[in-house]
Order: sequence, then C-alpha cells, then structure tokens
Amino acid sequence: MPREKFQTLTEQMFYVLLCLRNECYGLDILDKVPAMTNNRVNVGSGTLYNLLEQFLELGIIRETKVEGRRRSYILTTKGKEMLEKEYARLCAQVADYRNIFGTEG
Amino acid sequence: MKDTKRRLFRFSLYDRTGIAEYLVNQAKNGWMIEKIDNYGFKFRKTEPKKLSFAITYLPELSEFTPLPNREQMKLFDFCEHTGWKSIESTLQLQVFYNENKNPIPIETDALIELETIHKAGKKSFLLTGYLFVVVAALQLFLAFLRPCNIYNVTFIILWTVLLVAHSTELIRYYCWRKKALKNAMTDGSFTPSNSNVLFKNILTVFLLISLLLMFVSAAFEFGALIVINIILGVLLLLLSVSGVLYISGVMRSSGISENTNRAITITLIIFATIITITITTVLGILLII
Repeated sequence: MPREKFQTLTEQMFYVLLCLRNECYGLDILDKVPAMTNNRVNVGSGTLYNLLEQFLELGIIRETKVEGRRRSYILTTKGKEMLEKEYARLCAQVADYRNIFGTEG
Repeated sequence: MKDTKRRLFRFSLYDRTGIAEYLVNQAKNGWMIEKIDNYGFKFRKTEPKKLSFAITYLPELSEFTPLPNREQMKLFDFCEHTGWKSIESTLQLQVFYNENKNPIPIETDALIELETIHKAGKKSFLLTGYLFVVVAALQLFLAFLRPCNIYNVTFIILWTVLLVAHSTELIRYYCWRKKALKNAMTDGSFTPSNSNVLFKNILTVFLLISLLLMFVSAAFEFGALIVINIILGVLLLLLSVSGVLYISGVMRSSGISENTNRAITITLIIFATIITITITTVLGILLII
C-alpha cells in the first residue's frame, strides 16, 4: 500500500475507532458512524470488514466477545494512542486555520 | 424454454465494475445470477428486475477453504445489514445484489479496495499469470533450441499466443492499478475497471487456430496415430483433473479442512497425471510396434 499504513487516519478509520472506545459489535458500527456524523460519513460493509481485519492484525483493536456469528471489539492501548495522535493532528490543523483566518467562518 | 443458463467467465478477475454491469444487464433482461464458480456464471430465469450489483473480494479464501466459512459469514452479515444479499460463490470474488434504489456501496474506501484486490490477486490471477508467462517463455526458449520443422514453427506460434495473452493481462492489471492508486490518493475516487472482452475473444480464436495448426503439423511430422494418441491423452487428463476438482468441491462443501482438501487434491492430480502418461505411453509404443 503506497500510503504508509495508518500513519494518518482517513475519516472512516477515525470514526470506526471512535466507535470502539467502548466494546461494540462490528455490525453496530455500520449504524453508529452515520448516526455520529449526521449521515455525513458512511462506512461500506466491505470496507468495515477489511478495516477490522487490518486493525486486529496490527493490534489496534482486539476481539472481546464471540456470540454465534456476532463479534465485538474494543480499542487497545495502541489504538487509543493512534486516535490521540490523530486528534492532535486535527487540532493542529484547526489552530493553523484559525491563525490565518481567525475564529470566524 | 430453459429456465437456467450457463455462461463462461470471460472477465478479468479484478474487473469488478465490468462484472457488476454484466450482472445488472442480465437481471434487467430477466436472468438472475444464481451461482459463480470455476466454470462461470449460472443464471436463472426471473422477472426482469432493476438491481444493483457489487463485487468484493475475500483474499483469505483459497480453492480448498471449506464453504461457507467464518470469514465469508462475517462479510455476509455486514453486507446483509446494509441490504446487500449474497450470491453463492466458490471464488475469492464475492457477488452481492441490492434491491434498494440508492444503497450504501459495499466499498467506500478506494485504497482499501485496491489493497484487497491486490492481496486476492497474489493468490489467484497474478500467481497463475506469472506462472503461465514463465512456462510459456521456457517453452519458447526450448523450441528455439530444437531443429526447425513445421511442427516446431506451429508450436512456437501456440506458445507465443499464450505468452501474449497472459503478459497483456498482467500489464493491463498493473496499468489499471497504477491509475486507480493515483485517483484514490488524489481525490479518493474509484476507478472503473475493464476486461477488454473483445481482445480476449480474438486471442481465444488465435489460440484455437494455432492449436489446430500444431496438431495438423504434428500429424505430418510424426503420423496421425501418434497425434490421435496425444489428443486422447490430453482429453483423458482433462477429464480426470475435472473429476478431481469435482471431488475437491464436494470436500469443500462437506467442511473438510483446507489442508486435508489440498493434500488429497494434489495427490489425486499427481496420481491422475501418472496414470494418463502411462496409458498414453503404452498406447504410443503399441502404435509404433
């Protein structure tokens, strides 16, 4: 993959990880993300499937429960650190914007 | 009137837009996809319907993975949640349809989709593509070392067509991937894919003609009986390999583990090849005597 993996998070990755701050079923993320963003962001089912696989593989999230075919996940310390780093990056961007344009608009 | 039909798979495996468009048109004409496997598509006659189709990939699946399995079920559950229903597939390529007018796409991140296709490709079409290119190049190299005769010329033509077919498929994939990666990184957009079915059909015609030419020239060089013997041998091998693949398919749906299935299938294929070669050789010796 040309983009260095998860050095910066896409919007979809960011919201999937936000959903996993507390234990959550994979399936519920599909509803939580649009609800959280007022339908601005949707995560496709194939994209979510692959993201969860990759997050698990890299130890960003962990599986907590398996109930039949339903699986729940939660962020690991590494995942929390990634989210914090992304938050800091976004805040820095907002601060830079404000330095140029002020707080209006 | 028949209520089912079979169609060969004429698409590049990575051509998810081409395959989806084809299935949309078939459904519009009253043919609903029922199954996709190594032999191609199976359709069932229905009422003409306007449906959305989407193709996605499961790189974890191999030719020997028991079906249905955990990964497939997990993907199916996610897709069903957004209205996408699955179609039976024995391949890495998974087909879904949706009756809603504007469904949420299955893939919403172009880079992740490209990575998944590439991962799946390494285990399927890229692997076989490279393998064919190497075998074809080796056959051509050996053919150029042999004395020049009409059979050798037709042999070279046949393997050149095969080399062109497989190398262009690989080149086309990498060109599309490069463009798709650029678009995904620039604005996150998805790049449509294309199988160039016309080019594939032309190559198939060339392949059949060169195969026919090779057999005719071999008949001139070595005698018709030997060629008939070789053709019988090839048919016998194809028949036995198809039989083994059928058994492998039964093992997949019976839940036999991937490793056991792989071991049994490979052993049976080696066994079938040895038997075929023995029969053909004995027949050949008898014909010469």
